[in-house]
Amino acid sequence: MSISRRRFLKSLTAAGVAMAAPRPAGAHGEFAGHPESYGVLQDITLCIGCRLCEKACNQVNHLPAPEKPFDDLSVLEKHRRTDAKTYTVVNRYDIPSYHRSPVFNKFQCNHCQEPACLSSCFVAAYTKTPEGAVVYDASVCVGCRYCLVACPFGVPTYEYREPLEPTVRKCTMCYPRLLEGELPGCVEACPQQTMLFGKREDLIAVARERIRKHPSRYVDHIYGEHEMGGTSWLYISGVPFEELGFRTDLGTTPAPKLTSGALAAVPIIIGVWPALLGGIYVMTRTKEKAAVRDKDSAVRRAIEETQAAADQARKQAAEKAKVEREKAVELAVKKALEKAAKESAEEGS
Amino acid sequence: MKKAEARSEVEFGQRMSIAVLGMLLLCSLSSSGCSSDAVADQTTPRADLVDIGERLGFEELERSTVLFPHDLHTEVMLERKEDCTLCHPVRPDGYLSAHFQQLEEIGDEELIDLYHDECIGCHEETMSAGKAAGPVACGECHRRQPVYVSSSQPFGFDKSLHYRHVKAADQKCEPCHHEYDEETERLVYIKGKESSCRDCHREETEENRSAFKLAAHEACIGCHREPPPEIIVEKNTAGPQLCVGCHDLQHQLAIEQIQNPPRLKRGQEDFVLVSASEADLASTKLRTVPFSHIDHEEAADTCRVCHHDTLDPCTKCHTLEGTDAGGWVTLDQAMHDKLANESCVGCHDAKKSTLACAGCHDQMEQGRLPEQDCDICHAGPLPDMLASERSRYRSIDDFRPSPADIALTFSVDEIPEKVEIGVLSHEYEPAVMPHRKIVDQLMKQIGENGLATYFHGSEDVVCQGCHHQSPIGEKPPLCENCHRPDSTGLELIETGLQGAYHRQCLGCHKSMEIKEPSDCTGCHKKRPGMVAAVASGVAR
Amino acid sequence: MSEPANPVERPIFCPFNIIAGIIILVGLGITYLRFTGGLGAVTNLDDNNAWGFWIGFDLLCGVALAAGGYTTAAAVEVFGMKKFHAALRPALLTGFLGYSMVVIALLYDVGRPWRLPYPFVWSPGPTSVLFEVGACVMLYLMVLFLEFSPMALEWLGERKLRRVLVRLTLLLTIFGITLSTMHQSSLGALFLIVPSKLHPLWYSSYLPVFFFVSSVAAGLSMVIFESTLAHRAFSDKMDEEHKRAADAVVLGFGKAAAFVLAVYFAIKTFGVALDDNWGLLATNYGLWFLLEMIGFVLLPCFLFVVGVRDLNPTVIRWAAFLTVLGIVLNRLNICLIAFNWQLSPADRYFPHWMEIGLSVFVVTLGVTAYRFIVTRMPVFYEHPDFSEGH
Repeated sequence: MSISRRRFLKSLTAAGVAMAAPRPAGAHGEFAGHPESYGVLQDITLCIGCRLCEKACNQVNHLPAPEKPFDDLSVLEKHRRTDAKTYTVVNRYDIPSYHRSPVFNKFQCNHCQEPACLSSCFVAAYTKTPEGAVVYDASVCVGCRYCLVACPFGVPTYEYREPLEPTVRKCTMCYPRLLEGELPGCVEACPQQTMLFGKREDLIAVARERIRKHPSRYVDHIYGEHEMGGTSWLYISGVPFEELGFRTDLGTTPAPKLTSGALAAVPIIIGVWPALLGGIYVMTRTKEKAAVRDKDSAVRRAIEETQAAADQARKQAAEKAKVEREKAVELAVKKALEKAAKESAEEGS
Repeated sequence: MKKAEARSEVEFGQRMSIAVLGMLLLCSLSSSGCSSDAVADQTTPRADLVDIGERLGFEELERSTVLFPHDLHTEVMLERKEDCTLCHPVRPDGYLSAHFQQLEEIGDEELIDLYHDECIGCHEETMSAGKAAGPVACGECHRRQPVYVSSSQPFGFDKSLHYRHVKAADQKCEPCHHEYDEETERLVYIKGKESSCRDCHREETEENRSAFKLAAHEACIGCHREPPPEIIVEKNTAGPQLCVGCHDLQHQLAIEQIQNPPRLKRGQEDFVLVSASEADLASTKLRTVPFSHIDHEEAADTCRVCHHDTLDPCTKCHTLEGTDAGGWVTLDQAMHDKLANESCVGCHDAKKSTLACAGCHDQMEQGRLPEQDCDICHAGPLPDMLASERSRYRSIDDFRPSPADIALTFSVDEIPEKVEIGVLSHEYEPAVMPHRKIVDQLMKQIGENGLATYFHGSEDVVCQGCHHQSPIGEKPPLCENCHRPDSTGLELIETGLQGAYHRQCLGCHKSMEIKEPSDCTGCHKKRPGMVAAVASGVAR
Repeated sequence: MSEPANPVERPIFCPFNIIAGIIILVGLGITYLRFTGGLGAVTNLDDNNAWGFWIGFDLLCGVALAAGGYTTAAAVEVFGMKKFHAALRPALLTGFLGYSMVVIALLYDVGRPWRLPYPFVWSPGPTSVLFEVGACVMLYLMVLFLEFSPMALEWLGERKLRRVLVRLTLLLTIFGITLSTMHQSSLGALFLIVPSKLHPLWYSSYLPVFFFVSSVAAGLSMVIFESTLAHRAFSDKMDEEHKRAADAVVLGFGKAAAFVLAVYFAIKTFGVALDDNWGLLATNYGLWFLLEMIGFVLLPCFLFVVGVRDLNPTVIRWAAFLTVLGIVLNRLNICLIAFNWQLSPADRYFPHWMEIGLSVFVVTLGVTAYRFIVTRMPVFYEHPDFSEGH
């Protein structure tokens, strides 16, 4: 049951090495993304809500058929989220003040540059691939669901009905297809080419250019450029993003930075606490021992003093007794002599 | 001793149990409030709401502002056969003050007392007379969850309304237009200097000038209430005195519109060659811009669309270097700002998003200046020739493209009637596009639009709405020549063929709000036998 | 040292056994459903609310309330306060059983419990706070086991092994306090990654500090609370020294708890001030927060002070109970109530009865084990054969 010291040290070392491993260039602990990372630019003004992307995703990932077929647009009446069988959903937003209402938006994993799911996973089940996709490895997943908790966009889903082999499910940016040089399924399927796949920096340039050319059509913001440290899935929209269910209060701090401070305290505690506690223990013991020693010496001194006083008294008494004895002896001798003299005087007459 | 201790222990225990239970109960009760802070959404829209807190301009409000339903009170006043002077005092100059029961400025505390005393006092009087009255409790006026929401629409004069007033005033301008004479410190009328109220009356009240809102209400409603003798109209048959009359959307739509009112006479020119101001002329070499003022007057609803600040010429404030009066906006910025309605380019650009034009123009870069074609506007004589050449040009027609210029370079018969697009057909049959019908429709709409006919320059230009980025000709390149069928999005032309077709067609239909087709099969039928799980639903 | 009274033979169908038996049967039923139907069959968890009652109560509250082990050990072994010695073994036992129950609950909550060792031997994810929590909890459970084992070894009569373990006491104590500091604070650090989901009154960059300080208060209060219950139920198992020391422990720990709660209240106030969240106190969640702070931190702190000043153990015991409730409330707030506060009411989570049932089951297991151990092993008394030294 108990882990051997060597193994413990080994895993600590592994952890330490992993933490110290060199990461791609970035000033002072910042990660600006893999240099050749790809991404997807989603132009929300182009989406017509046809759901062909959902259908393609379902086919490419061999997901089970849904309850309602993909050409049933009545599902758009309610806002949906991703779930274990649906890696992406299209939602409709009716915005009366917008002349091109309704607006449709496709929601899926944003493949963050510094993902919260990756940072929060204690078995390193997530990888940010050089291609930009954030992929999940079910072979190590323990099923703790911290990634579901951590994701600020609420993307990952879990197979709650699977008793023994549940996995986390989310969009993979069709990573296997990327490796084959193919486009993600949804990107390819869209008849409007709402999504553009390319190098992330190129996509940002394209997005800026579109906004520059059509300032009345777009809100001047690329969502995902900086949110949570940047994402690989970028969005441009004709209406403010919060009206489409985007969280606009996430800030630009990447998720790992939120916990790195607390984690950095761990080695300090390991180093300082034992010394501190040991020191307190030593001080306490020393105080105790000193107290015991003081008590002992006080007791000893008390005994010695009493003894000395008793000795003194005894000696005096003995001397006094001796003097009195001598006196008594003298007196007795004198008395005896007087008595003998008196007796001899009576005999002579 | 021990017994007493034990008893007090038990007592304490009992008290503590009650306290803990109480707190748990409190927890569960208050936690129900955590679930939602939802606000009941039952607000009545009214167009006559005066936001008193905003009007009084207090910096900080201790309580919520009061939304005062003005028309409600006006109607009550009318029922009682009272007059506006019940609340609004008359100023020495004869105007009814827009302020409530004050002619002079008073301090904040006094203002609050005034409103409270007068409003609550009147309500209480009404209540004691046995009639239904307004609120007297604090929270009923200073509501945290308002019961009213303002549906008030901004209101302004347009040409039609102005003409109706001109008619009523028998072509006289004095009753409304005045200037302020610094010397005599009076309002005087100066012929030829009539301009918009807003040229002087700004957003906020300045020393001697009331804010526009105040001035407009005082002047307009004051006149509607008691027209001066020179206005030929029966009393109370003049314009509205209730808020809804001007500020309610339905009422606004019901206002009588004069079609093609006679032109406003203020000595303006029909046709101008726009150039920099005299002072700047020497330093500019750019050709002047022929400008048909009369055509623009017809197209615009008010003068302020362009003359947004004064009726002076643009170049008076917008010089080449910029002036303080012009907000340091230089002449070139003022004329070419693609987002401002007052600028030439900005207004023309905005016109491009009308339904008839948006189909093509939405897809094009907004406010794009034709780099090689500045002379489409700058077509007039050079500045240094202005003096001598000016008399040669009388109207814009001197610059319009002639019919010969805009004739098609190829014959109409060569435009295909239908085009079959089958290059991508897989789940669907090829799409059949009614090409000539579309071209004819577009040509017709262009012909009806002066702006379009001027700027398109030639009829072929309409081809470039779809056959873009390529020269005009009877055989334009095919879409697939540039937009690849197997595009990955990483090529030079990032839009692939499928995306290009759909965006071009659907984008145009969306911009022009064309309802047909309503689903995919409207353009291409489904192939029988194919697994068709294709979506319907082209968004409008 | 006097002998305890002979253990009375309890009948097999005594009330405790019956109730515990029913709970255990229900628990076994839920276990079956969990491992045949998945989490969805026994919980109300969903994709928006991935952590529910088992994490909120069994894990977070369980670890906080089992903190009595390290706080008592710190007091007795490191700070040398021998007068609390009688409280040490019960506290260590509670700690050991508490953490064991945490691990058992985790076996239900996690999707593949047999993979729990993976992060430490196979695929570490050291960027995760959970990695650190897991490592520390695992190590600390071992430490607690080693600290508990002398009690069992005395019961079994194993002298030599017991002597070896007793020699390690100080080392284990220091190691245990270090591990406890780390994982108690890391449970708070778990929520640092979700500022967008946790209500700003509870979210702070100081969450680890808050959790650590409150765990000290929790530990001290649990020792008092548990000793109150134990004296009611198991006084026949206690020797004179233990009974005599009870009040001293309560007074001493009460004094410490007063200080810790005062510090906790102060730093929580600083937290609100530093983020300038005063305005939020006027909202519904703000009232809830004030209730937690004033009713369950400030009030027990005050009661502790009063109890210590008046030398009144009853008041202190009630204060301890309030503190325990407060810690539970705080952990549940952070994990369930103030978490996902922005979701619409339809998307919020409330535990399934089976989740609560299973937590009751796990607690019952712990209580049953506790009962078994204290009625047989020298927890509340000194074993006559081993009374040589502390």
